[in-house]
Amino acid sequence: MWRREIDGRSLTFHLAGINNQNFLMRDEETGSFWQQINGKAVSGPMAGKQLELIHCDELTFGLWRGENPQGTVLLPVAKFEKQYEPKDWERRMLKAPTVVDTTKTGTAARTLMLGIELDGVSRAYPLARVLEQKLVLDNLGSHRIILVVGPDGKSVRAFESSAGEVDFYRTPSGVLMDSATGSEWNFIGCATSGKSAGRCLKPLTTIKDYWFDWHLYHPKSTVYSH
Amino acid sequence: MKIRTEWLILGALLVTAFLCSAYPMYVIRPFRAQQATELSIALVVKRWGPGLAIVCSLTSLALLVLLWRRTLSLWSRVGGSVIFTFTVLFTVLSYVNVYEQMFHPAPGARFITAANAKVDAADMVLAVSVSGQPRAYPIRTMGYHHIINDRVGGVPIVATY
Repeated sequence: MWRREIDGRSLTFHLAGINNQNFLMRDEETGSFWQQINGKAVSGPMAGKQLELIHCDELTFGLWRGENPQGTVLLPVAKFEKQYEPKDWERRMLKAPTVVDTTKTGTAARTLMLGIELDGVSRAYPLARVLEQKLVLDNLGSHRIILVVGPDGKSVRAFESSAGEVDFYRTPSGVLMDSATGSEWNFIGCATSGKSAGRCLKPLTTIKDYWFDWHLYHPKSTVYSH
Repeated sequence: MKIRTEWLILGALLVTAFLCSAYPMYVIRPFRAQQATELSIALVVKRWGPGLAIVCSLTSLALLVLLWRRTLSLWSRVGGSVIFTFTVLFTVLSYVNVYEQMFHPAPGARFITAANAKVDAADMVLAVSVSGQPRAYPIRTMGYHHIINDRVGGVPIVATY
């Protein structure tokens, strides 16, 4: 998700090509080509420019609607709706061939990852592992990272915590708490009780991506393996 | 100009127009690894190729007219016309971006309130909130269109999947 504006000029994007299975976008205004995964222009007058990342979460519709009853939702385009892939599309994609060899990394090419990059340090968190663990606490460089699975068991959000609430844990009923201040935290990342009540964690953007693609753009990325 | 030279130039124009349309298609195709250098060349050809191919087609037309006037040979006239026709064909093809034909960016995307959206509660959405305006893009719709040029809370954004 990108802000489609460079130097005050709005750009209109089209899907216009593919680069090692990540798509290229072309903007109508300058004819430049952009890489979808990192928002960088790779060819044309805008080459080298970087789009600004817009924070985005991948959530279940039910959870999102509960949080945002006043929100708006993209409608299917009637003309094309019949051609939309069935819901198990992603599962079928797992079997599709890849062109990037990840054998040396020891991780399967199509492993779905939640990628985080902070101050040039990057790590990929296998989505299946995160969903299984429900709460992931990790250090990435000098940052304390928290990945939390929502009450629906499918939505994931990532946050950065500052000193003071370093040790988060999940109660048996699934409530997120921190041991330092004894506060309860909701899935938006805000404390609803205890000493920290009213404080919110800093949201982090994760990029959901296949390992081969994440690895290609973050060759030094490690894989979370706890 | 000798007739022989004319044929050589006609051929070269045909090959150039062919490369303008075929090289990017060859390099930028699915399930193929793209190397950095060939990709950057292919993208330059994709951007400048159509203009170059037009020049090829116009020059080819001029040569054909010249050829037509200078020879009465039916074979030469037919041969020149065939080469010219293919040059024009490759020129037209160089304008086509197969990806842009296949993937529809959904111009004029429309939206509905959360309460009225016919999306299953367990379906995944891409969720953003810009200037306090929350918006969701169902993955199933995004998986087809891949790109939605949008404006949320006054900010132009592009949703990609």
